[in-house]
Amino acid sequence: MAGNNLLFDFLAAIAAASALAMITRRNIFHGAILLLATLLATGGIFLQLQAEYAFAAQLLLFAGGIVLLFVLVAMLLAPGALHHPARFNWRMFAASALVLVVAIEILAFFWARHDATLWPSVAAMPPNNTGTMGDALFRDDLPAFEFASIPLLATIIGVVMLAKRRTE
Amino acid sequence: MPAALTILEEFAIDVLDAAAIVGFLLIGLVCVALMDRRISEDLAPQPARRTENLPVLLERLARALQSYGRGLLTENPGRFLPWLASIASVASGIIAFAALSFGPAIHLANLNAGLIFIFAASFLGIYGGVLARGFSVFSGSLAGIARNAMRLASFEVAAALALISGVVLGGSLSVGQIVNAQLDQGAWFIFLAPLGFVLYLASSIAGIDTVARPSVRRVAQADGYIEAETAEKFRWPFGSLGASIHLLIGAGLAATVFGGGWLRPFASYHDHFAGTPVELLDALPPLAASAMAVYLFWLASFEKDNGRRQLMKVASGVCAALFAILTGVLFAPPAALAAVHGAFWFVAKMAAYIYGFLWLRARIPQFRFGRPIRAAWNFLIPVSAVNLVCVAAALVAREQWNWSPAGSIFLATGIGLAIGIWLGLRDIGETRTYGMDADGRQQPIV
Amino acid sequence: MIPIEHYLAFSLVLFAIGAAGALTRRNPIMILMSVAVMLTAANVNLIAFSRLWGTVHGQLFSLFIMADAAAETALGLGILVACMRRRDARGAAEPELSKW
Repeated sequence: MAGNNLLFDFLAAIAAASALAMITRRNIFHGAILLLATLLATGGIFLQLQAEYAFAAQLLLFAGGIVLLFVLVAMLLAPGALHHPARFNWRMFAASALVLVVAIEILAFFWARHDATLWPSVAAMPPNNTGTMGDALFRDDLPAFEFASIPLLATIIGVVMLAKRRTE
Repeated sequence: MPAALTILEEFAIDVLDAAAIVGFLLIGLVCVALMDRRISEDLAPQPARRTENLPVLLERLARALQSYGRGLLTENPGRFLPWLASIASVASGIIAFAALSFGPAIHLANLNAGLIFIFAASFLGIYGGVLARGFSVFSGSLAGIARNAMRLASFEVAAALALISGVVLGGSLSVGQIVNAQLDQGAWFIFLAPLGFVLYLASSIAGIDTVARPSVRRVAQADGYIEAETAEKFRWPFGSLGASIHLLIGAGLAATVFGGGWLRPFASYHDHFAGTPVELLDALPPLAASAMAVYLFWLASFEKDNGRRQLMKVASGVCAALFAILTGVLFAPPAALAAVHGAFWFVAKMAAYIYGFLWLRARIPQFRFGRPIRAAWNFLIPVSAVNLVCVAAALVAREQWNWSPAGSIFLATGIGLAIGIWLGLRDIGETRTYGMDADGRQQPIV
Repeated sequence: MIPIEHYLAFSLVLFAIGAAGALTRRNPIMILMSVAVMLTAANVNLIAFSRLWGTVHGQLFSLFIMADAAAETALGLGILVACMRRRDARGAAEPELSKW
């Protein structure tokens, strides 16, 4: 049990620190790699919560897709940044620290008043995570699955239209 | 203090397992490199150079690991991205190995969605290729970088579709479940979905180059720069360590999904030797190990190079030790027997896949520029998709309509094969030769 | 399982960091990255509660969020590249992208 706690603390610390570092980077490539670190650490937290399929999807979609897109577009739009080292930015640091402090204060306010009987006791997860997800996707929540395909289709069409060269 | 000790206990076994996996991977890398050298030599025999022996290989490996570690501890943030580029594909490969099972209980993690995790972790190797090309000589060509990334993605899609045709037969994404399903159905999935295996092999061969780092450097000349190959004494196959690890992962996946994992051939045949609890077919591993030991020792006398001869003799000794272990464990408790022999069969299947992979790759001509992605999308992916549907149909036919196994295999392979041949012939018919006509325009030569 | 408050706290902190980035940075790529961090924070929240209740619906919804995050990132980056291309075609000065 203690190991479980320690693992969560470790992963959460990595995720928060990487995210904080990411928003203060001047070099967007460093920012993209730190985003990768954040997403991987969060994926580890998913795995610890017995959400194995969500963990694999996070790796594949976020880490392997979205961050790759960021890196490629950054290479396209600011190729010089790949070779320039980053410099520290005090203004950014101050703004982030302020927002973070405010957030923690809000959290502390609610934490101090938390009621232990508010949450139910932890229920057991169904054993076969992928199978249960499959059942939910294709049987129980099928409308949600179908409706989720509409924005994806719109996005594909939109990106193809954007990428077309105008023949005028 | 006691709390720290209990935490250590919780993680100790996992850390040991992880160290064992990394050790196995390093040995595997060395073996892959040696195998590749040997196989490609059969095509174009080269005079044995003194730089080709095992000590140089080990030194190369040690230096690579040392540079990774040094890069981790170095203070200079400007060097971070290049270091990450060098380590990304290797690290992603090592991570992916965590979910593979070498035996009934020999794995680092038994994930429910294990196959997707292995696939996703190996896909992260693309960062190695992308960042490395960004730092290489051709850094101005974003189109090249993006094309490489898309090439890997395309072949990964094709490989995934082919792999899923095996997973459909297994009914689960968990590695343990798939192997147990092959035990239950009495046949490895390579016999139930042969076209899927062939497509997986083809996609892997085509996609393996994309995680490689280019080994071209700018060399200053009197009148500018030229691009020269790096003067390395020993080159890893495919030009990089990361691609070799990805080959090992591909082999592990193929062995698990198509090859029956840690199962012995004819795993449900339980005849015993007279009077002993030892099963007949369990004598195969010791036999194989002893045969290998004798064969290697005999081959060693044919080697002209002294270093090679020593290497052969060492390998023969290793096989003899393996024979001793495999025989000794026959009389051990069943759990140990299952574990050790399971690991042997798994590694043997991986080795067979790797040998076939390297052999094919050495003999198939390289894709021309611009052809690979078209080959993936116009041929491999449609055939993989059709194969997937056919395998699923064959499964339904076998389970619900009570077709015979032979009939269902025919259904699974026949339609996919027919469509593959049709697409292939159509594609061949479309290649044309281009030449210049009198106006200086390129016209196809009819 | 660890008490749910830890996950809620972590999710809040991550969301706050993402919000700080999205509101304070001027680089469009950085803004999109901060939005991705915010969506991940929401995912952590969903999956933690899904574990608490012992169902799989939270994880299911987080899958949809991931898919839509990928779509939105792709579209946003596509719009960005198209804008940059237009600006370069009009002969403007070096794009402001290098400023943070």
